[in-house]
Amino acid sequence: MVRKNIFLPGLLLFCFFLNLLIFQAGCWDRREPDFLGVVTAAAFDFEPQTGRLQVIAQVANSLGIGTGESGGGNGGGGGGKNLFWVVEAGGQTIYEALKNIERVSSRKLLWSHLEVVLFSEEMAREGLLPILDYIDRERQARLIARPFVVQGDVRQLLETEFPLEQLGGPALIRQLLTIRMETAFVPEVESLRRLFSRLAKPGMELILPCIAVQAEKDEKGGPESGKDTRDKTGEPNPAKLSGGALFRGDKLVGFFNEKETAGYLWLTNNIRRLTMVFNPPGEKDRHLTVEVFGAAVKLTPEVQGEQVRVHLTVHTKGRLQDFTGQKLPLAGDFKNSLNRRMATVIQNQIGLAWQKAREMNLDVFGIGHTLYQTKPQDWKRLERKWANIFPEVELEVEVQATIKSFGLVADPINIHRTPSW
Amino acid sequence: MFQEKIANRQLFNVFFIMRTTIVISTLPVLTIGRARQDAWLAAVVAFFLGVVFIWLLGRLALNFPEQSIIQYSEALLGKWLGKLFSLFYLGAFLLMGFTDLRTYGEVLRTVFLPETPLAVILGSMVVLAVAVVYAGLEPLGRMGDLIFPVFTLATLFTLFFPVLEADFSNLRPVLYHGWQPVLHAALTPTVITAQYANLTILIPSVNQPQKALRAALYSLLWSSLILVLAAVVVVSLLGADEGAHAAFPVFKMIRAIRVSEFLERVEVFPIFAWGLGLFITLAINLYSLAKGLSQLCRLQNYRPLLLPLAVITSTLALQGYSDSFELRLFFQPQVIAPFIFFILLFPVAILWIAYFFKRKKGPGFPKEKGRGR
Repeated sequence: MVRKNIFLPGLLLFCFFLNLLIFQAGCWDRREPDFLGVVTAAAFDFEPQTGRLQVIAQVANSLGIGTGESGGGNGGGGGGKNLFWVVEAGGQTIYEALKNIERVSSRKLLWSHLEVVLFSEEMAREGLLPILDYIDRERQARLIARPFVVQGDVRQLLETEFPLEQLGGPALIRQLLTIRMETAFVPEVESLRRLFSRLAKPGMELILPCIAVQAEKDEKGGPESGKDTRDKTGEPNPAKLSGGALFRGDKLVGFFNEKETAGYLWLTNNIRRLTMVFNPPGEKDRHLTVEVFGAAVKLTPEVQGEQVRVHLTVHTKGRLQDFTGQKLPLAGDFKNSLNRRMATVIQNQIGLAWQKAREMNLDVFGIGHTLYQTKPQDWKRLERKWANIFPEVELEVEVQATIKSFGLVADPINIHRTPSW
Repeated sequence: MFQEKIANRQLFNVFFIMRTTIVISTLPVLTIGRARQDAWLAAVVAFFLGVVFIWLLGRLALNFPEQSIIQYSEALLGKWLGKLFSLFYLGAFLLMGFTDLRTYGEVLRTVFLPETPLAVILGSMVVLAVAVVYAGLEPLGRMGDLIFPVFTLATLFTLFFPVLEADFSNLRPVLYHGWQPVLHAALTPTVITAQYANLTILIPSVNQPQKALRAALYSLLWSSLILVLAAVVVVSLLGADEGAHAAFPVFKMIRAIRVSEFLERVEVFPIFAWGLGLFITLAINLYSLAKGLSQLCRLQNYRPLLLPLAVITSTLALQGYSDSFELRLFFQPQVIAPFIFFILLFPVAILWIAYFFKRKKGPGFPKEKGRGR
């Protein structure tokens, strides 16, 4: 069945390739990556006096990275270019501020590789909504970026150099991941996606990881002045990640310290690793360290009228990491005693966090959300009165901690002491 | 006249791709209405309602396996009334063609190509679709065969990566606000089942018309499974509210995950799938439109109509919606549901009634092949 007239398709095809010949030689409005400034970290600050939003961006410098030169963070160093550049601009809205940055930048800034979003304390107290809405709407930004609340000078944090890293943004992420894997100092809300999802959940308040700026500022003229020749190997890491920033709605209202954060992580079943130190039974002046690995937490709320009781069971396993006694007793009662001590430490941590949240009347643990998920009928009834009910919620904690192993040796090293003569 | 034939398998592929593309890209079960975490339930409900819809369209068509809806509506309603009703269908094909095209254009414009003129994005897609429809229905069916595995794999990848990070507790509580929002949210995806109206044009071209309805229903089943999966994954990853606000939730979700440090930015998969899927969708709608119009005007060949119709489609895609606000508004059930009801369900109901009346007159009627009376 031949019915094809191939003239028209042929002509179309020819025209198509003719086009390619002309246009594929190059892009007429190309934007090479080398001509873009890649923003790896951005901080948002708020000036209460003027009501202006301040955006500070850390732009990776391709010239600096190429040479492997480890120049300082600010000011023009003597030799090569710096690894990154910190630029700042303000505006009434977030987008205006971002556009104002481009006035003082020689390159168009590329925001799609933004990895860290920092909120200054003032910004967080004012409310995160303007920034979050922009990030949610904008096509370049990605929700995989990680949010932090910064205590201290944000600009300084972005300007200083991390001892082991080239760029501040990725450095902070590595630090966060390390901490999350190794210990329990920061809450688990570690991406904008979780932040957004959490803000919309009923009966659950927001908590964000916190950064404290550590770099000491020199008296005059910033870190580059004067004693520049000082050995850099001893510099402290400029950021310390610890604790959680507590929000009511999108506004910062307080902080959890490290112990309280650990308690929070216990309560919300987010413990991965945690180090705890306590005395072995009967020996006040000695210490032993136990590392928690793995925990199973079950939180069951019970509702009676307007009374809410929360029953928390924690099953956890630990590992003996150091012990400085004479001999490690293998008997059951010693083991049980250690287990009980460990359980007590955990209970105390939980208690601390609970106490604080209760005083602030801030349901960061999502007790209300658990009710919403497991007992929706009760939540419907209690939701309006939750602010009155939450401080009255009774918490029962039951901890079962077991120390499973003692490591590669049983008894500590037996130091042979020659009898003195 | 030579009748091109496609296999039932190809029919299945084409409808599966068509349904999945449009339903996944905007995820109406979640973005429309207040079903929130019950979006997957809305998808299930939409499946059952969709079955009814397709059955209404398809069962009637099976009574006239040799004819398209344009031809048998003339047989049922008389020449002029039949032609009038056929215009409703042609209008529906045109509408679906340009709306789907515009949706695709909005995805690309919002996310990737903010400065490219919409005309270029839409135009290039229309040129492709015209090329394949010009070649005929059989090449179109074979394109469906070719695209189907790629499309399915890309869609499954899109939904598989996020599962690693998903928090399925977001799906609870079930039915917190009762059934009402769920039914509300199920309306739009049900109405989008109108795409299966293409079945009424394609059935005469299928190898075994009696099995065409089954193929269509299976395609609805599988694409509904994908829809349920998509709703579950988006809600458990983004949270119900964030997903519901998004213009293109699946896309938002895929951008919000980090599979590992080396594998992030996996959004090529949905975009790839949508491009291919939209190509098939647009081509089928264009084919139905051109074929139907040629039958309406008693033309031997539909090909001369193709270019003018393509121009009309792309013009309407550009001008039919002035901005993304209007497009989102159009998919609201209170807008789209009466609309589709009027141009599709209402004519089908009339045809069914006419069919029952005619059958009472003579038992041999369904086998009859007369055109017009």
